[in-house]
Amino acid sequence: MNRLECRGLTKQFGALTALDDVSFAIQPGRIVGLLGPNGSGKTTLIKLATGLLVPTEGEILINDQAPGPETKGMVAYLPERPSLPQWMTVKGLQDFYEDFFPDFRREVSGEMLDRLEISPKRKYKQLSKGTREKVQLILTMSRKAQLYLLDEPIGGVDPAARDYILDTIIRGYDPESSVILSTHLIADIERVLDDVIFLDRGRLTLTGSADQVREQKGMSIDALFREVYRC
Amino acid sequence: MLRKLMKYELMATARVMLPLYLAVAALAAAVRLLAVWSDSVHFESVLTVDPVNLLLVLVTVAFFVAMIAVPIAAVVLMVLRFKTNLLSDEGYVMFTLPVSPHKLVWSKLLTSAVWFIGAALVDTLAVLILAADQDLFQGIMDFFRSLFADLTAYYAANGALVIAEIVILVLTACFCECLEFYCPMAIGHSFARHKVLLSVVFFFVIQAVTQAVWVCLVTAGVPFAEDLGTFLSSLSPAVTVHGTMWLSILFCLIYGGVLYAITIRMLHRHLNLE
Repeated sequence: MNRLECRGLTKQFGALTALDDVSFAIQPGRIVGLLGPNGSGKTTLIKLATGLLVPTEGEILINDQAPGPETKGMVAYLPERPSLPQWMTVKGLQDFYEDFFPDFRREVSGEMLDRLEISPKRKYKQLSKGTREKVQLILTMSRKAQLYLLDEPIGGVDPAARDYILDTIIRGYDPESSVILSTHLIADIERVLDDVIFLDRGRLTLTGSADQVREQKGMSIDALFREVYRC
Repeated sequence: MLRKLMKYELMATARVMLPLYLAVAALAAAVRLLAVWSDSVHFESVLTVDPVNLLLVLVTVAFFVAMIAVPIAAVVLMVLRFKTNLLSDEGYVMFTLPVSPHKLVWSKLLTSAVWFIGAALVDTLAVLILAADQDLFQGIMDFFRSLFADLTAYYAANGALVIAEIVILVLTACFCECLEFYCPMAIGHSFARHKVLLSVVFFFVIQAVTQAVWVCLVTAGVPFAEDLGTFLSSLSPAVTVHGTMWLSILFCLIYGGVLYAITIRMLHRHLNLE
C-alpha cells in the first residue's frame, strides 16, 4: 500500500492552476524531498494531502483513503509557519497533542525539549519565532505517524538547529512511515533524501530515487536544482 | 473528540470571560456595601462632595459599564475565536486534527452558548446582589409561582413543558446568533484578499436576504390572513402557547440550519488559510 498517491491531481484557484495533472506514489519507509522554487505548488500539494484543500480534479490518497478525519490521524503535518494556539504553554501544547493524537509520544517530546533547552512552562507566544518553529517541529516529530508532511521545516531556524532537526528526522526513521520534506534549501537536506520530486509551475518535472538522479545527471541534487531553476 | 475540543475552547475563552464575570459580581457587591456605608456615615470634609458618595458614583458607573461589557465581550469573543482559531494560522492545526469540521463548529457553538447564558445569569445575579433582601426574593418566588399558576389555569398549558420550550428556544437562538457571524466569515475568508471586508459585506448580504425572505413570506400570507385568524381563534389557549413556542423553535432551526450548512460547506470545500 502506498503511503501517498496522487492520480491526475489538479488544483485551480480561479484562473490560476497551482497543480496540473500531477501523478506519483510514495512507498512506506522513504524520505522524499518535494523540491521546487517558490510558487511551484509544493505547499498546495501538502495542503491537499492534509485535507486543508480539496482537489479540482484527480485524487490524492493516504493509505488508499481520501483525506478525512481518519487520514488526519495517520498524518503528522508541520505547516510552513508557526500555527499552534498562542495562549497555551509548551506543556499545554504537549497535553493538546496527547489528547488528540493517540500516537503522540510525550517522553520523546520531553527529551527533545530538554535537549533544545525549551522550558515546558513557557508560554508559546513569548517564544521567539525560531523557537516556536522548533516546538512545533518537536511536537510533530514526537508522533509515531505513518506519514510526515513537513512544509519548509528548516526555513526559519539557525544552522545549528537545522542539523538537529535533520538528525531528528533521520533518528525518527521508521520503515513503516514516510517523510515528505518541502524546501528550497536543498544543500542542507540532500544527505537525508531517498527520493526527490521536482515541481515547476504546478507540473511534475522529475521524480525518482536521489541516487539514481545523481547518477543519471552527473551532479548533486542541489546543483541540478540550481541548473533547472536558473533565473 | 467534541468533548476535548470543548475543553480547550472553554480554557481559551475562560481566561477572558471568568474575570469579567467576577468583576461584575465584585462591583455589584461593592456598590451594595458602599450604598449601605454612605447611608450610615457622613464625613466632615473640606471637599464639597462627600467622598463616600463620590466613590459610590464611580463604582456604580464601573458596575454598569462591566454589566454591559459582559454580553458584548461574549459576542466579540465568539467572533474572534472563530476567526483566530479556525480561519487564521491556528486553522492549520485545528483543521488537521482527526475531527470533522462539524465537531469544530459545534465546539464553538456550544462554548459560545455557555458564555451567552452565563452572561445573562451573571448580570441577573448582579442585580439581585444590588437589590437583595428577604422581600425581593420572596417577591420573585411569588411572581414565578403565580406565573405558572396562571399559565396552567388560564391557558391550560403545562408549566414544565413551557420551561423546556424556553430552554430549547434560547439554545437554538444562541446557535443562530453565532451562525449569523460564522457563515459570512467562512464565506469572506474563502477569498484570497480582503477577507475581513468581504466577511462584513456578506454579513449584511445575509441579513438583507433574510429580510427579503420574511417580506415574501408575509406578503404571500396576506390573502390567507382571514382564514388564519379564524383558525387561530379556534385553537385552545394551551395549543396557542405551545404552538407559538414550537413555531419559533422551528424558525430558528430552519434559519440556523441553512447558515450551518453554508458554513460547513465553506470550511470543508473552500477553506483558504493564508
